[in-house]
Amino acid sequence: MATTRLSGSSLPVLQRLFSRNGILPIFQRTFCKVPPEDPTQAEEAKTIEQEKLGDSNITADTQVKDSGVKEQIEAQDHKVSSDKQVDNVSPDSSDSSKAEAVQETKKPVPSQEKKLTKREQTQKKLRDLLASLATVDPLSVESTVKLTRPKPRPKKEAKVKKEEELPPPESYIEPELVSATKEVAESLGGDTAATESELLSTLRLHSSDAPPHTQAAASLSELFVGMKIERSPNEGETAPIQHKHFSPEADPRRQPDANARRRRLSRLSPERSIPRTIQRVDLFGAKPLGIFTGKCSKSEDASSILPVWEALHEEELKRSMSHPPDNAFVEMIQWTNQGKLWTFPVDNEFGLESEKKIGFHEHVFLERHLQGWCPPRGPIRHFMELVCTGLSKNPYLTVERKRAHIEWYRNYFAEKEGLLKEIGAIQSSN
Amino acid sequence: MALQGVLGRIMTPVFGCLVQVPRCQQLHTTLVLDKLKYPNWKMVKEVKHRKAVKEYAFERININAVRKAKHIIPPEVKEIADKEIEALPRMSSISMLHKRCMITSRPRGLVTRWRLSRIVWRHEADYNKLSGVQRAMW
Repeated sequence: MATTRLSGSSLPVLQRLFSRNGILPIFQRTFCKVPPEDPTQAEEAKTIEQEKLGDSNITADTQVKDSGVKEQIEAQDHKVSSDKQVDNVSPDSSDSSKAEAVQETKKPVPSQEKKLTKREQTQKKLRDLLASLATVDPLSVESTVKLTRPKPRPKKEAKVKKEEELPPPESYIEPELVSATKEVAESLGGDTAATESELLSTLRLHSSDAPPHTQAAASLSELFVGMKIERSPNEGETAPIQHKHFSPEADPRRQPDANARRRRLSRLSPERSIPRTIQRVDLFGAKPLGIFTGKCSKSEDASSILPVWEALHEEELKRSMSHPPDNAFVEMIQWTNQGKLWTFPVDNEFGLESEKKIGFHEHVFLERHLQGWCPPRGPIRHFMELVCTGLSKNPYLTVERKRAHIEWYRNYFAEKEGLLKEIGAIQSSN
Repeated sequence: MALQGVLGRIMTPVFGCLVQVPRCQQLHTTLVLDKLKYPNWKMVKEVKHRKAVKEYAFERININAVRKAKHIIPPEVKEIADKEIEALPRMSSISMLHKRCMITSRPRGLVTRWRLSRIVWRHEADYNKLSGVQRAMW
């Protein structure tokens, strides 16, 4: 009998109520203004209401039980308004019908009425209260319920167009910083407008008001994407820089920081700045300058006055050019090469390597050197033979030295020839 | 010789032709550089002595051989030889040399083989600088 009273439009609502209460999560469950047929479900609804709602939100949430559900399922749908209207109509009718149904169910159980009256009464009061509050205009759930949303990912297109796009007007830079950038740009020199714009763009990147995606892009590579490389108009005309060629223009010490940043930027893309082709340099193509001719000589006056000074200066120059030994081993090698240090293991015949080739006969048979000048008999011959014997026994002299001794005696006795003849040492007849 | 070497280094132009060294430059200043490498002036004189000995050693030994061959060479020749040897500079005789320590220039207490004074010799031996020299122990 209860079911016949219900309108046709409220059937799907009721179905939704009873079917969905257990399935949906808490925030999506219907907040029942209309009391369900079962008392247990009414209690559940109550508890749900008490947990989820605050005092102020009761009206809104309870108002749109079905419309809220619909909105959550179909976000920003045009049907919402129509549904709301439908739903607004249906709860009133359903409320009344449900209230009647409840009241009718209560009647056949008079025995238990006394026990349950208090409970029933309180519930009834609540329901009436809720029903009365249903007349309030519905409010959107969206504004009260805060839902998590996905982070807006930076698109790849935005990076490429960064050069052309104007800076976003959202970020706020203090006027002091702006004036400071202007001053800096003017002090640096060169293209002030370009430098100023670059500085401001970097400031915007680092400003706190900027959205997260632009802040994340403030890496080194991102910074330099926007900046254009400065190139002189006469780049093609100048000769390409050799790898080991020192150019005073490119010396970083010479120029202030004005161009240092530009050069640093240009170094980032070396493929563009340095051309591939290397031109050959003809050393003897042009006329020589005549600076270094090899005929340079020190003036005599300076050295004549201070010979000690000059000598010490020369020694100092030699020391500056020569590299001092790294360690004791190198020092010992140097000394050995100079002849100050013996070679080890010690060789007694060091320096007499050529003597090994000369045979013993040249050392021993020295009488042949006496041929021609020495008389065959006499004291001189006797003396000379003794000399030859003595020399032949000497292993420490070279053959040249021995020959030199004999030659010396030849000369010596040739000087004293007259005396010897007088004495009778040399017999002229023989 | 050393003097000329030093001046030659200073004075010669690059093409290497000889330059006449004026007399005034043969004074004290250039010679000092060579002498400053010795510990004292006595050693400098001794170095000069030895250089002279080396220069006349060949002549001297030949003449001495003639002088000492007693019954072989006639005495007239020997007398001439004696006179000749006297004519040579005194510094050139070996017997006039007085050995000194090469490091300290000590005239006495020398160990001949190493040309060092006994004190320096001991020091070097203790620091293992002398080959084959060891502390005696028996």
